[in-house]
Amino acid sequence: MTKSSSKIDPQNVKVDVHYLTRVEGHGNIVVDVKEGKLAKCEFQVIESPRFFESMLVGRSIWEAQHLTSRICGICACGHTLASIKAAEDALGVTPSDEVVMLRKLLLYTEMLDSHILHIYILVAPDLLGVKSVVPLIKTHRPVIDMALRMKRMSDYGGEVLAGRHIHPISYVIGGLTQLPSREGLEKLYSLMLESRKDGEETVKIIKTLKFPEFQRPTQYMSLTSDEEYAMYDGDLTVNGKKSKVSDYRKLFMESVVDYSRAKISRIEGKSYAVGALSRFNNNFDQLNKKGESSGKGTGLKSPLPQPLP
Amino acid sequence: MKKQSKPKVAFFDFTDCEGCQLQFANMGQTFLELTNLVDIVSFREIMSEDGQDYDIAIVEGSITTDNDVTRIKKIREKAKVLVAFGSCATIGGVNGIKNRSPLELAKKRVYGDKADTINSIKAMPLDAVVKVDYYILNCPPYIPEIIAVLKAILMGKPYPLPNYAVCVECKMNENVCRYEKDQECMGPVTRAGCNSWCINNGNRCYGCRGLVDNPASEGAKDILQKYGLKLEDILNSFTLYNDSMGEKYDQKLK
Repeated sequence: MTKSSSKIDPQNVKVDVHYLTRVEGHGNIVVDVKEGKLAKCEFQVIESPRFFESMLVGRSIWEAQHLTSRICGICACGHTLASIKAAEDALGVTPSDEVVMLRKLLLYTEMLDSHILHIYILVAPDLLGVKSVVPLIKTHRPVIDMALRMKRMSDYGGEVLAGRHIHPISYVIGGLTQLPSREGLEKLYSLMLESRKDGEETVKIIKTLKFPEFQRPTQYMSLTSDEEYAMYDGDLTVNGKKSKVSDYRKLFMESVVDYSRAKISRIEGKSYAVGALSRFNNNFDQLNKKGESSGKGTGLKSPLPQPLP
Repeated sequence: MKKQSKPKVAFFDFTDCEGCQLQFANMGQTFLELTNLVDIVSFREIMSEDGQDYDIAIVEGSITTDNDVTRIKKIREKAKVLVAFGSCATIGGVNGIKNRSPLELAKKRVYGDKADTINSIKAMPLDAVVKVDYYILNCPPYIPEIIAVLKAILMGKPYPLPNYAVCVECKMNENVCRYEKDQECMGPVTRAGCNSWCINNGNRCYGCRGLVDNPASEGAKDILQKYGLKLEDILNSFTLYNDSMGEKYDQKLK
């Protein structure tokens, strides 16, 4: 809801979005404000329950990553790597620096892929007042072509590094079943260099878009590390306080609610945000020069209380 | 030639990770070309349009709730062509693993004292509930195969699935046999069509495409014996994607 929606009476609001679209997973949003009082505010994850925790019982540790990867097709590499890291921790296995670097590269290309999909295919239609990317194919073809070119680059990253992004093949406990080829890596490198101009163009395009005014400060939870802008490894950090990943259960409180198949997770009894915005807010100083200047290009600066885009 | 209206296509997802649909977004320019040939009227993962009038339904995910059963039957009524898309829809995929333990136990393990509020039934592939016209296998589906099946649908021809084992493609790709590396590989009994995707990347076959119609189970047993492996281990490994197939597969493998 935007400020400009002046017809909405803030004292009485009824929102009932059945089946959220342009998102992975099934969810409803229900908000009910009666005479200025919030009667109901629910994000109902109506996904059919899949029982992953139960599926894993009795399976080989070598199969665990294949199972957890299937939690989500969009962020399969993230789920795979989390599972591998947990298994290595349990077995006392330390991967080589080379393996860790390849894992980070895989994670970054997946992140790129996911963000390109997010910005151009899932979010852009809202900002341009259409229902999906399909009408944009006709009205904004050069931009769509550019987005697909960028996506091709990040997709290729998945292909050359792990066989594919959706349920990666070659990353296993301790290392890789097969190293990426030199030619593949060189091609990826040149595609990435070529992609820079598309990235810079993306920053320019985003600056021209008008985002709804909405601010919601919350607790920002992300990994942090002294070494880098953390994504693969580090400490769980929220409100400047750091915890070890192994203390997950001490930091997060998970509970089951009647209206949702997904568990509700809180830190110190309060909700929190994860993802790109939290990383940005917690690790802004560690962005590299290019990233930092892109951040400045959009006028964004940490801390950012805006959950959009 | 008379101008015909384009066939209307709708995508639906049931219990799964939605990676299958994402393969369409990953087709790049091919996806744009596809929009010249068909009208995509519903595709919740990337579209807000929700057209209820469609010719071709491309459906991913397994049937795992009572609501899923009702919904897939309605889709079947409306669609002229129904395509089962990906491992969950064609063979049950990883969802089938929950069929191994009592449902009440699975509910309790995940939802604790709220287990009673959870609706769930045995995980099933689509064709356990409705008639399926075309099958696109694999987890995730292999883009060249998606395109081959779509071409067949648009030309109104059947798409016969390869009825030989992954080993055939794997040999053509000159991979070293996984058994030579002391691994248990599902390639000898799994239906080809993925161009031995996982083995090309140094891993083994996990059987995500299901069994060939007549698996050479005696030959497969000889391989196991030669490499000192146990049948139970292989059968257990095969359940990663194929547990929903139950007796239909058990007889063929034992």
